[in-house]
Amino acid sequence: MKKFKSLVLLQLKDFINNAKSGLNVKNNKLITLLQFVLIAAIFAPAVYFSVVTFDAFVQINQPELVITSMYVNSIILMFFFGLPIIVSVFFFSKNTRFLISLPIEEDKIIFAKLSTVYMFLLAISAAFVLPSIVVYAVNTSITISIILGGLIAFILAPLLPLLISSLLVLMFNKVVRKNKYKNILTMVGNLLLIVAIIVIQMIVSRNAANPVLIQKAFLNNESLIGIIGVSFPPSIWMTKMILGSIIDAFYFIGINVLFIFTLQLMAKYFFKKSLLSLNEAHNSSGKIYYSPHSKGWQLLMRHNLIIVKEPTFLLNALLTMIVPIILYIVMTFSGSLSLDILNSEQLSSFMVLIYSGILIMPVIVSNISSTTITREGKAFWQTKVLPISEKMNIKYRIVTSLIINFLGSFIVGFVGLFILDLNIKMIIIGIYFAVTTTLFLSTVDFIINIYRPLLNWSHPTAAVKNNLNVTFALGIRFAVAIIIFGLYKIKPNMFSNYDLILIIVGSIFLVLYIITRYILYNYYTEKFSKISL
Amino acid sequence: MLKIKNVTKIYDNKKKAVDKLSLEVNKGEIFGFLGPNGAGKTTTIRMMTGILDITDGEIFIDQFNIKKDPIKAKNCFTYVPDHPEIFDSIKGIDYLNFIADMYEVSKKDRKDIIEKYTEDFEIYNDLTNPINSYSHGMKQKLLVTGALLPKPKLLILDEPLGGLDPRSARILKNVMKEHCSEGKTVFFSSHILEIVENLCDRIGIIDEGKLIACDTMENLKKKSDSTLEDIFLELTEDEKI
Repeated sequence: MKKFKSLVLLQLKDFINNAKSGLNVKNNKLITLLQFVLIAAIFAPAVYFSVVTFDAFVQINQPELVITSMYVNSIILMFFFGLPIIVSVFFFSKNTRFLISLPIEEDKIIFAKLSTVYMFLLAISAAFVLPSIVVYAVNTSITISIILGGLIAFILAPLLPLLISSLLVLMFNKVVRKNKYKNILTMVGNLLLIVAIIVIQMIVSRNAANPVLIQKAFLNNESLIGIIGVSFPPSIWMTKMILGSIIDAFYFIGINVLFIFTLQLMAKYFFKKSLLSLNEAHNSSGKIYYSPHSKGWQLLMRHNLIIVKEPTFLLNALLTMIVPIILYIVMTFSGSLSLDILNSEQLSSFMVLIYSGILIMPVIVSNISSTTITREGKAFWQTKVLPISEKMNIKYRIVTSLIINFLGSFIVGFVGLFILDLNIKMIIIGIYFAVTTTLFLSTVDFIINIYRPLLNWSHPTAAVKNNLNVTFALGIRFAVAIIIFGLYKIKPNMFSNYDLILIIVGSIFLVLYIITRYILYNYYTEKFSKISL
Repeated sequence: MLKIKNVTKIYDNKKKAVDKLSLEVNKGEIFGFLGPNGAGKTTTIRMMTGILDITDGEIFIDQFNIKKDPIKAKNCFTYVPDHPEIFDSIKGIDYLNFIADMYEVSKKDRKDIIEKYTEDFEIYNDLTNPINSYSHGMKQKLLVTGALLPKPKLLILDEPLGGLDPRSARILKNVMKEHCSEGKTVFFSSHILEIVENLCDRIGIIDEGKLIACDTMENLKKKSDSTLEDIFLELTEDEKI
């Protein structure tokens, strides 16, 4: 038991430290503050949602259903969150080989690893299940059964999603454990998670604003929550347990004990299929080739592959390209936006502005260029010893960022052609504006990266997301927007012709790009050459 | 082939890692660079290769100043670092082709050299695997093969034998000798005194950033009449006293 306890503690510390290092903040007080902000950001809407849901159920005289619905919601959420964590803990963990060599039983290693996932899911349970019980108790009566039952429900809630997620990962372990699919799976998983979060966020905000919808969802037997609530007995047992039913408490605890036993039975199989399989030799694939390419092509490929081969970087780049599309799809499905609204009479005069805004979205939300050098990390020395000029070294890094940004603009612009009512003039103006904005901002971002190369990072997330370069890059965009807005305030008449103003601002960006490019290649090459690990 | 003139490196305006170091390595020589941990060996090598900026002094590679004429200087040498930290998500063959393209190695030459050395080092069959699946030794062998691809005038190796099995270490030693017999130069740092003693034409010993000895093994022995280990310990200890 002592060994198991140490193992669990080690796993948890590893998990927490990884999360902290991902934040890339050295100040412990700041980390504590960030943690509080993060907890508040999760809890506040969850508590609010519980209150609104409770009020809705009071109207149909079934206030206890707030616990049932929040329990079911949290189970779905835990399942979605659990999947990528389980994959990460079992197939991506760096300490796996070390743990296998220790004199500890296989199932204990598995349970210690699952405990990390459990703790994460427990946090979700704390954010969703606990507030609903508290809200119910405060508004009805605080009894021992509510306190005890609530605690049991809160602690046991993560077990079922943990079991289902584990089973699912096991089923697909052959695919998951293959190196070549790992990156794609992580990326797809992360994308699905982001989409799930946006969808849940939008549904929550819409439902919170309209309690009638919640009532309808529960009264309508065909609705998702209705079906799960009725055909998912643990949620009913749990609710009745909290209300004081001993027999339902027995059922609810019993089924969760069964989940634990099932997890234990799975442990050995999990060990064999996940941890041990990682050590098996991989067969080589592909051909040995000797065909020459130009230096530029090789550098371009290298910088692109650094992004493509690292899931965190790839996801970051991909989001740059498709965030506007994801937002549009989610907003359309949630009913916040429709083709009718976009192509309405009122918006027709703004169409060129809307399309230009969509086209520049990738470079606005992107931080690709401000982290180009940082992404290379400790491998940065490699190009420094090569017989290539500093200008060439810089050039292909910027070109890589430009390709990603332009590809993003092309994708959203292409989709925009089918959604918006556009004419040739609008498209040409939009493209001109997007090209000049992208060229200018990418060059400025790269200068930021020369100032702050940050090559020593422990986690890829620290390189591209939790990196102050990104904040500075966004700051520059904000400053540019403030200047344009200021000009609009001072001289509103100047902004009456949108076509003209986009051409003028685009031309200013073009001039600024030429100036910053000159500065970069003539004054910053030396600074670039001095970057060292 | 290599000329280091009064080179100094100061980190963060505080720590002097290399202090007015001067040395010359001649064409066709195998030069061994020795020193205790933290003596400044890697810092010197990093300045020679252009990875680190030089605080003061000059470094010439085949008459080209590494700071003023970096491309011409870099065309003369290749470098194998002590820790093979490279972009390792690509396949071994991709890495070798990348290096070959950077030094403009012809298709025929790259095929001959890659086949020769990767077969000698027994990594030929792993070339289509991603580098991150290689062991430390395999990565080291890949980097050495990459460094040999352009047939450089100067081969710079930082602790090249660490992580290599005895067979591969022997092959590398032979490669270094072969390289010099073709009139080219090898500069390498090592902790393994026995190898330095048997392999090098001349030896430089650095301690606390200063070159405290630089001569042939015979001349060093004349002064002390003992093994390289004794000389090394004696010299580096004297500095501390």
